[in-house]
Amino acid sequence: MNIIKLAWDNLWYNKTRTILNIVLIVAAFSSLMFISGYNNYAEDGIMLGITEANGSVVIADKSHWDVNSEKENMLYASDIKIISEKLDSYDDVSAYQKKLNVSGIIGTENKSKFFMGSAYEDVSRMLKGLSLKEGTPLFNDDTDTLLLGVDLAEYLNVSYDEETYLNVMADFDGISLGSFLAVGSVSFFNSQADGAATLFPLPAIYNVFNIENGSANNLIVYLEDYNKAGEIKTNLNEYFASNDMPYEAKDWKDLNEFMLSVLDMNANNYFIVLIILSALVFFSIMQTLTTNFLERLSEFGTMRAIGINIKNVTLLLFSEIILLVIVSTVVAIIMSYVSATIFNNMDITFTPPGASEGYPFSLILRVKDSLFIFVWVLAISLLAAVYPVYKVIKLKIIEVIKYV
Amino acid sequence: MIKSENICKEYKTKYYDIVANDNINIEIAYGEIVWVSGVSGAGKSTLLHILASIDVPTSGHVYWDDKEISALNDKERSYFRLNNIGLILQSLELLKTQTVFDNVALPLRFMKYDSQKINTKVNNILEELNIIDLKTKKPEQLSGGQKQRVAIARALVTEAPYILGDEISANLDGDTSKFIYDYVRTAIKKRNGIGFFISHDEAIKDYVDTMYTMKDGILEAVK
Repeated sequence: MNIIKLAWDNLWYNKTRTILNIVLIVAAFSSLMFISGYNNYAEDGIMLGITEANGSVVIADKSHWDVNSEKENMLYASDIKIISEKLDSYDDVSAYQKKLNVSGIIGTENKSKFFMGSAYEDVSRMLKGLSLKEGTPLFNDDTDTLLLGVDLAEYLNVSYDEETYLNVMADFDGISLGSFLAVGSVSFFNSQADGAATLFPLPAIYNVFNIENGSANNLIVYLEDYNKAGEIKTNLNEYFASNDMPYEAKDWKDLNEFMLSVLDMNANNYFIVLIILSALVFFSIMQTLTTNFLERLSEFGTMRAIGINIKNVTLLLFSEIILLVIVSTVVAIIMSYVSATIFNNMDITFTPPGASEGYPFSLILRVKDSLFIFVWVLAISLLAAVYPVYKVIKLKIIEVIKYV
Repeated sequence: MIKSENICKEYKTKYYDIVANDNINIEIAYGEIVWVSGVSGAGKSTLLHILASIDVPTSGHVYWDDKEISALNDKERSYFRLNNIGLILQSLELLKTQTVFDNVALPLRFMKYDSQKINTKVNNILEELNIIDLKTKKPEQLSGGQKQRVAIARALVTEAPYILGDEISANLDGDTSKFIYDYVRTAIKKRNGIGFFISHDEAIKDYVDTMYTMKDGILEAVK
C-alpha cells in the first residue's frame, strides 16, 4: 500500500511527464489497435463476403465436383429431402437453399451474348450482398423474371421503363428456350461478372424451362459461425459415406482456394506491418520510459540510503509502470473505440483492384486484440525499468545518489 | 559500536590515483558522539559513506556491533540501515513528490509501523523541531534551513542508535544550529546511541565527546 501510494504520488507530482508518457502509450496502443482493426476488417470482409452469399458448406451429388464427369447428376426433390433432414439436426445450421446453374445465350431481337447465371431458392438473400443499380429487385416467388449484370444490361440496351423480355437459350438435358422479363440490373462488384452474369429466382427457371420442381445443382448451407464449416463438412461426409449416399459436402475453403491465398497474403502483409509497428512501439516506449527512470536515479539512491531495499525500489518502479499503463490503456481503448465508431460511420468505401464498386471500409476492434496489446505494452514498459533497476543494483548507493 | 579496521579507499582516474582514506582505524562506543573536521577533499565524507555502508572501502573492514558489513548481503544491509542508522547527508534529498509529513514517515512506513504510531512519532518530532506547521508542504515550498530540519527529523524519527551526519547545520543560522546540535545530542544520549558527524562548523565541538581531524585521507584524534 505504501508503495502504491508512493507510485501514485510520483505520477501525480510529475504531471507533465506523466501526461507525455500517457500520450505516447495511448498513441502506440491505438496504432496497434487500428492496424489490428483493419486486418480484422480485411479478413472478416473476405470470409463473410464468401460465406454470406455462397454459404459455408455446399452439398452436391459427387459427380458435381468431378471435373472429368461427362454428366453431372442433379439433386432432385427426393435427394434434397434426405439431405435436409440431416441438416435440420444441426444447431449450427442457420439456413440452406437450393441453387441451380444456368448458362447459355441471352439476348434481344437485335443483340445476344453468352451468359452464366444462377437461380436461387432464396434470391433475396443473394441480393443483400449486391448493389441494385436500376429497376426493381427479384422476389423469391417470381416466376419469369431475372436481373442482369449492369454491364450486360447496358450491352443489351435493356430499358426498365418498358417491359423488356429477353430470350434465353440454355442447356438442360438438351437445348431449352425461354423468355424472361428483365426487371433490373445489379453490380456483382466484379467487372467480369457484371458483363456476363444473371440472377434468377428458382421458380422462374422451373416454370420457364419446365424443369422438375425442387431440383438443383447443389444445396448451399449457411452456418451461424463460418469457422465451424470444416467440422460440419466432415460430419456430413461421414454421414453420407456411412449411409452409402452419393452426395459430397465441401466447405468454403475447398471452393475458394484463390481467396485462401488472398487471405494468406493478407495475413503475411499484416504480420510484416505488425512487426514493424511493434518494433517502433517497443523502441519508443523503452527509450522514453528508461530515460525518465534514469533521470530519477538519485531519488532511488536516497531511498536505498534510508534503508529501502532493492525489492521495494523495484516494486515502486513496477507499480508506477502498471498504474501508467492501466490509465493509458483505459484512455487508449476508449479513444480507439470512439474513433473507430466515428470512422465506421463516415461511409468511406474502398475499391479493390478488379472490383467495379467500392466496399464499405471499416475497423473491427476486438477485445482479444486489446488484451494482447495491453500485455505487449505492459511488457515493454516493465522492461523499460530493467536497466534503471540494474543500475540501482550494480552501482554503489553513493553513486546512485550522485547519478547524473 | 562502530569499528573500522585499516580502511583504505582509493579512486582511480585516467591520470592519477586519489587516496581518500588511508588506513583508518576508528572505534566508536555506544553513548559517544564523534566530530571529524578537516578541509574539503580530506576524505571525511568518504569515511562517513563507508561507515554508513552506502560506499565500500578498497580494503579494510567495517563492523556494526560485531557484524562485518561486507559479510552481510544487500538485503541485510538495507534492513540494518533502515532499523539502525539515521543518515543526514547534503546529497540525500527529500522526496519531491512527498509532503514533509510523508518524507519523515517514509522509513517508519517501510518498518511497518501502524498509522497511529506513525502519526504520533512524526507529529512529535516535527513539533520538537518547530516545523509542525510545514507538515503538509512539499519540499519545493521550503527554505534550505527548513529542508535541513525535515531531513534531520527523517533521520531521527526511527530512533535509530547510529546517527551519521554530514554538515547537519548547513543552511541553518547560528541559533538554529545550536538548537539542532543540542537536539541531536540529547536524542543520541537518550537512546544511548552513537553519533558520527563531519562539519566545518566549530560550534559543534561543544556538543560532541570525541574530536578527530582528517587531512589527506589520514584520521587523527584531537586531544
